[in-house]
Formats: sequence, structure tokens, C-alpha cells
Amino acid sequence: MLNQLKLAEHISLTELDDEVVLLDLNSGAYYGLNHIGAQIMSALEKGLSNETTVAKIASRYQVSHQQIQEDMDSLLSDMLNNKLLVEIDKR
Amino acid sequence: MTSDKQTTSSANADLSALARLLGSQRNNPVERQQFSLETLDYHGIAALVYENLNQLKSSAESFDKTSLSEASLSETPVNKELENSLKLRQPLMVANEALRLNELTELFDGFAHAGLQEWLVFKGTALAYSSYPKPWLRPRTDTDILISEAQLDSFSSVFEALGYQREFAITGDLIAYQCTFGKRLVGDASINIDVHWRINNRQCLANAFTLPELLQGAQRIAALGQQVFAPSKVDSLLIACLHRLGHHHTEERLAWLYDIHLLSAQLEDSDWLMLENNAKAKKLATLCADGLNKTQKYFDSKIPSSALESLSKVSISEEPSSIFLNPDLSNWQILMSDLKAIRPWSSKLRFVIQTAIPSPDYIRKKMHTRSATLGYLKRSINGLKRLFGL
Repeated sequence: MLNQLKLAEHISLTELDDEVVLLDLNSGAYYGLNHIGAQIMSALEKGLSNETTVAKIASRYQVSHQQIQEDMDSLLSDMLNNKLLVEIDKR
Repeated sequence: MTSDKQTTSSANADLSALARLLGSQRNNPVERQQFSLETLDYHGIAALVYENLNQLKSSAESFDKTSLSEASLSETPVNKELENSLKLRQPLMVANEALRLNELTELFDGFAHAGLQEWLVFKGTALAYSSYPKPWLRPRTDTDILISEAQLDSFSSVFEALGYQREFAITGDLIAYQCTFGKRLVGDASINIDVHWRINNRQCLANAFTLPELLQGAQRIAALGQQVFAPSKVDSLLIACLHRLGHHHTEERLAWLYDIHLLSAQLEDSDWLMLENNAKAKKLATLCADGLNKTQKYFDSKIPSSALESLSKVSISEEPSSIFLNPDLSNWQILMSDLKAIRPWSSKLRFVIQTAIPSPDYIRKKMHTRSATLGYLKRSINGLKRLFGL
């Protein structure tokens, strides 16, 4: 799922120390993501695969791959539903 | 909304202790302070304090923990409640900055498309993007730009095309050298741009810098756009000293001193010499010496003693601008200073008329009345009350 998504054009991303703040420039709504969310955003921007991202996070936080995958899917679905992310058009 | 009582208590806070919140823990032992968020906001240092707390924490974590007691690792210089408030506030500050940057970029592109090239961004926004490690660390309520008066109409057209409205204010070619354009953004956000055609409204400071002179040494602020420039570091430092007292002589806010601190840290020996010479030539030496001395006092800034000594030797009697060293300066004294600085005599007369008898439109709006005559009468009574301290 990760490598099929990108930030929507109207979303501004600012990196803090180990967090990120996303701002919807159309509505003014903003969202803070913690350090794990920030890593997922970073992976998304770099175009990393699901497996690589999950493995990187798992090695750092010692949580099962399955748990990380579920949490990541949930976050990305929420972001997609809130139009923070869009699917990459591969046509 | 901050009450007058809160503002007074914030203004009277222990500045040395507040300034230590921005310092290094190793040089200044941890001391838990009971400052309020209002006090940090008043001084424009809330985001900076939180940034510094985070740096102190990561520095302590990477330090050899065996040499630090557990207590000192868990201690921070502010109480937990304030730290939590600052933490909660940070994403909002960051988001606001992103929103503002998006709008400024569009505005500045608009200037470029209209062929407007000779202008500068200065003061808060310029410093936020040139001297601060992160722009949201420098709070500000507006963005200041300096233009040529001859191009005011062209700039106004760009503002209007982008949905800005010129704010109501007193007019008069000798009264105000600036106007404000405001716009509502998404959500509750808004943006104000102060458009100046002289560097300051006070007559003895208004001509301290001209736009062509500032453009000569200007530095590009790429984060705001390839066509966006700000005054040089030396000019920015002089303007920071001028602004601190020329516009805000009654209040001491640490954010303005911190601006001077950051700018000072960027100057080379040759820059200091240039600063010294320019400050004297522009008769800003006493304002400059005061800003640098206070900055060094609170932030232990690296300012060459030779520059400080040389600037401090200038007598206040040599510089009309030194009246702003007096925090208790009355409106009457400011008026007299303005009048003294204006030349020729015909302009002095015009200044008095513009001050005493503003336009009927202004008086009606300002005095909340439909009758200009009643408005002038109310204004005269208020003026006499102020003059006699009633």
C-alpha cells in the first residue's frame, strides 16, 4: 500500500525533531504524527516498500511485524480517508 | 485575551531568569522557574524555550549519564505544566508558519509577475527565515516589507488582486510612512502585511535607511522565493536596534534582544567595523549601543568590546534618536522630536495640521460618530486630557 500513495498536493509537511506536522492548506486543519508516524511519512516520501518500512520499524521498536503492518495500514487508511494522501496514478 | 494585569506582570518578569531559559544548561545550573505561558508569549520566546528544553534533554541523554545524577536528568528549567502547554502548542505554531509561508510565497510571486522587483522583506519574517534555525521560533503578528513610495499603487493592485484589504488608518504624507494589508486565510487564520516606504514613522529615524541603499547589500531569502531579499546582516542588526527603541521604547521584550543576539553571532570583524561606522554616520550609535549592551547582559552574546566601547562613547546629545532611550517618553515629547526633525518650515506646518486635523473620514471612524464635527470635538477633549494627564 505504502508505495502506491503520496501526500496530496494541498498538504504541507514540516519535520520536527522526530515528529511531523501535516497542514491541510485548503482547510487549515493540522495533524501531528509521532515518531513512528514520521518514519512512515519518510518511507512514503522515499518510495520505500511496505516490507522494508515494517522491517525498519520492527528492528527499532521490537514489535511484531504483523502489529506494525496493521497499525501502518490503519494510519494510511485514515490519512487516505481524510484526503491527506492520494493514490499514485500509474496509468 | 491577555488582561492588563497579566501584561504588566509579564513585562515586569525577571528578564535575566527568563533569558536563562534560552541558555545552555551546562553554563547555567538548572533552576525551576514559575513563569507563565503568558509571560513567555509576551516576550515572544515560548517556542524558543520549548526548543531549548528539547535540546537540553537530548544533550543530557547523549551526555555520559554516569556523571549526572538522576535528578538533574529529569529536571527541566520550567515546571511540567508549562512544558506540557508548550508541547501541545508546537504543532499549531508549525502549522501556522506553513500556512503563512504558503500565502507569502503566493504574494511574493504576485509581486514578481507584476514586475515589482525593488522591495525588501525586513524585521521579524526576514529574521525568522535568515537567522533563526526554524522560522516558527520567531513569533510575529505581521510581515514587514519596504517598497518605494512611488510604487505603492502597483503593490496595492497586487494585494487587491489576491484578496487583501487595506486596513483603516490615519493618513497624511508626513504622519504615516506605512499601511497594512490584511487577508483572512483558511480556518481562523489571517495574515497582515505592513507595507513601509520609510523604515520608521518617527521623523528622526524615518530616513535612517533608504530602499536603494538597503538593496545594495541585500541578501536573498531563498526560503521565501528566489526573488525575495532582506537587508544585509549589518543593516538588519542596525534596524533591529532601531526598531526595538524607535517603535517600542516603552517595553522590553526578549524576542527583540534575541534577534540582536542571533544577528551579532553572524558578524565577522569587518562587519563589526562597518556596523560601528554606519551606526555613527546614521546617528544611531546610542540606540545601537543600548541594544547590544542589553543583549550581551541577558544572552552573554559575543560582541567585540571594541565595538561596544566605541558606540558607547557617542554622547546622547549628538543624536536626536537617543530620546528613545527614555522609556517614559511622553507623546508630547515624541511630537516635539518629530517636529524638530522635519524640514523645511513649510513641512513642519503641514505636519502640525495633519496631526491636529486628520481627515474627516478618519475622525468619523476613529471616534465612532457620523458627524466629523463631533468627532473633532471628542478628539480635542481626549487630547487635552492626555496632555494634562487627566
